[in-house]
Amino acid sequence: MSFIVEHGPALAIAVPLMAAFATPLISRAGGRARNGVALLALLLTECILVLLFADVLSSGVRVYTMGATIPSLTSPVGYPIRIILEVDAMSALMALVSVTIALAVCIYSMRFMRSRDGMGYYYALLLMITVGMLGIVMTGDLFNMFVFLEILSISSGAIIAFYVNRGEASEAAFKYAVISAAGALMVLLAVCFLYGQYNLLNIGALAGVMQFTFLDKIALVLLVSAFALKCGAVPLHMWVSDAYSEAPAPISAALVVISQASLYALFRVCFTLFGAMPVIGVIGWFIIGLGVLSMFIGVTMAIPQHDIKRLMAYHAVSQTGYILLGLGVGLAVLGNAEAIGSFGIKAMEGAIFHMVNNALFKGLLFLTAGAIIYRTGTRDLNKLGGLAHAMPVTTCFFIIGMLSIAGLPPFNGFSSKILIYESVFMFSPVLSIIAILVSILTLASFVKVFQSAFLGPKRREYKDVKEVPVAMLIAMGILAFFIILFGLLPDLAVQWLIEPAAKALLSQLNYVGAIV
Amino acid sequence: MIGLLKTGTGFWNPLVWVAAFFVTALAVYIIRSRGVKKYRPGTGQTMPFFSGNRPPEDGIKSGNMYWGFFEALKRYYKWMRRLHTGIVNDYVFIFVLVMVLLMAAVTLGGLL
Amino acid sequence: MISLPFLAVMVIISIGLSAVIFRRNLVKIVMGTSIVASAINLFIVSLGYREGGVAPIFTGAPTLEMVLPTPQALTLTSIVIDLAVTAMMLSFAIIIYKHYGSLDSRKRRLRE
Repeated sequence: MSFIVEHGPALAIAVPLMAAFATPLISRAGGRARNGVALLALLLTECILVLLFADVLSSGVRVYTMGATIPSLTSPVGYPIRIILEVDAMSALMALVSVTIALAVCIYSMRFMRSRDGMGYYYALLLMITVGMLGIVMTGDLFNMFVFLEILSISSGAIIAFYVNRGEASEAAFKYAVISAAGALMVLLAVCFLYGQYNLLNIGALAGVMQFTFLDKIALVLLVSAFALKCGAVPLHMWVSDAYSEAPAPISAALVVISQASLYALFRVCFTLFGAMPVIGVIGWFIIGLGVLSMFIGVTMAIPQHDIKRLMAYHAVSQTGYILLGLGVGLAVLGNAEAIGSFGIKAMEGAIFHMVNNALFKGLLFLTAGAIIYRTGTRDLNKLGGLAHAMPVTTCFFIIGMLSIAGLPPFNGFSSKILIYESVFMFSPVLSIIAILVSILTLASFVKVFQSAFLGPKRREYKDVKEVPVAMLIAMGILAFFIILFGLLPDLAVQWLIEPAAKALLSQLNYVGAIV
Repeated sequence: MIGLLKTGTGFWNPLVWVAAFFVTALAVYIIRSRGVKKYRPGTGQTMPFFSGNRPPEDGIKSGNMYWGFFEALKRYYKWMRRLHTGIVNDYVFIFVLVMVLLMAAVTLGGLL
Repeated sequence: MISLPFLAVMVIISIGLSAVIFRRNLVKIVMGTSIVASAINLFIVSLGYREGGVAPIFTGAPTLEMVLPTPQALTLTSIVIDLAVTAMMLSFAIIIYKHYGSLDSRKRRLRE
């Protein structure tokens, strides 16, 4: 057990990586072997990460130096050398969320994509996506973060274009690839600026020696805009609707968590690397502006859509706006210790809790959309109708997801949104009012989807529609279980999961002290 | 107590909410069950209300909903649809614009 | 005055970005991305240069200062990543041409 915890960060990346490269070979032995290997790899990674999370909660930041004689030997010659993986409470939480959603996606895909060709590559890419997400959240080295960001972009770009019989999927994937490449190259440029000045690539070491020159400001601007591009903040959000709607339905659920890996990178750069910078308040206000724009434009562009997945993609943009709002409020008051203690840390807790909840309820909504597409074959809301008669369990899951995303009690959307509303109200009442208004518009647009797809009389062309198979219901059930759990017992979630993460983000000294 | 989430300025307890919901639902059910049963399926009671007009033959589609909302925000939506071109060159152009804007803001913020 | 490699890097990045923003042909957009990536590789390598240094190989090295080896490792990684991204984008362009019949970025079907 202590072996697993001591080598946990490396094992959690290595297990899905080796399974990803073995999958095309194992798929020669048949579909069941391939599905079993993918599922087993993800289950194993989940167990490793649960143990690692428990350890990080009890004993603080865990470092792992790649290639050293013992894992904690970070600085044998006085400054950090080699690639160092550094897992604090925020990293462990994001890793756990990523692998849980990947597991639900894998179980769902086993049935949803059963009759298709090239499934060996699908599962290999799904495991590579998991590797990319885990790498970004667990690494403590800036160039390594760029490498895993590119791994994630390439794998997710390839899997978005999975339906090669449709030109639209490749068009969406092309746009996604160009945007991802532009963003990642700007990240690399920023990393080079920092490396050129300080001759260090490690985040903790850089935070210790940063001197806030003009080049550092350029690097900060490049990093913030590139990560805001990758997570789909307005006005950089236009790729989101294309990519999420053309990807296979379970992959749309995974794309939400992929965008959140970039949100994690944004948090890490702003709070830990540049936390002591004097202009961090300007960045905070900029992120608040992005958040408010994302919330409003995301939901108003979602309401007129008639393609169910495009509508949900715009809602993903809108929910990212809530997270950026909480994060921006935390950044804008970062220098003010009294404000941080009274509402700043609550805003950050709301944002991090909303990241977890967003992955859960947005994932559930995309999986129910996939269930509708699986049975009826169409994505157009104008053609659907009356599905609640034939698919009652899917309707129930959709209602849970809809009430959760609109922020209605007693589900988890309300728990995280009330943290954001009340703390942002202390900062500026106008922002909180806009946030509540956007929640109402979210409910309006999902009522439209519910009425069009599920309510109404049974249609003639859908009279053979039955309930979806059990594997897909199990995957949706996992997510719904966590939604209800975090909704009914939010204080346990905040106390054990979210508050350690928020405190770990704010304490730059712990992160730096683990390295040097 | 369990389930009590403390936000900075208040608190929220979903278990108390669920209990209150069930009590209220029970009260509503008891009050409604003492009323007159007037539901006759198959008559005009089950048709959707369309202000006296005849509803469309193939049902009410999603494109027909929220007409008033879209009429009121017609100029905003025309502008938004024009901005969302779908051309990948524009996406990268907006990215460069946002970078330039943020750089200007950070430089000005540093000078003040 | 700024040194020549860094000036060249800035010029090449602006050429590449303007190719991505202003060119309509999908293949030219891919070429623009590749140009930007090559410029950044040049930037990384030129960061490690030390005046009068020799290659960072210990076997039989003259007793002079060596250039930094870390940027060379970073550049190798970056070249491989750029290769994969370019190959993937070109294969998407092939599939788009097969289905749409044209490589114009303005002939897109996913809009607003």
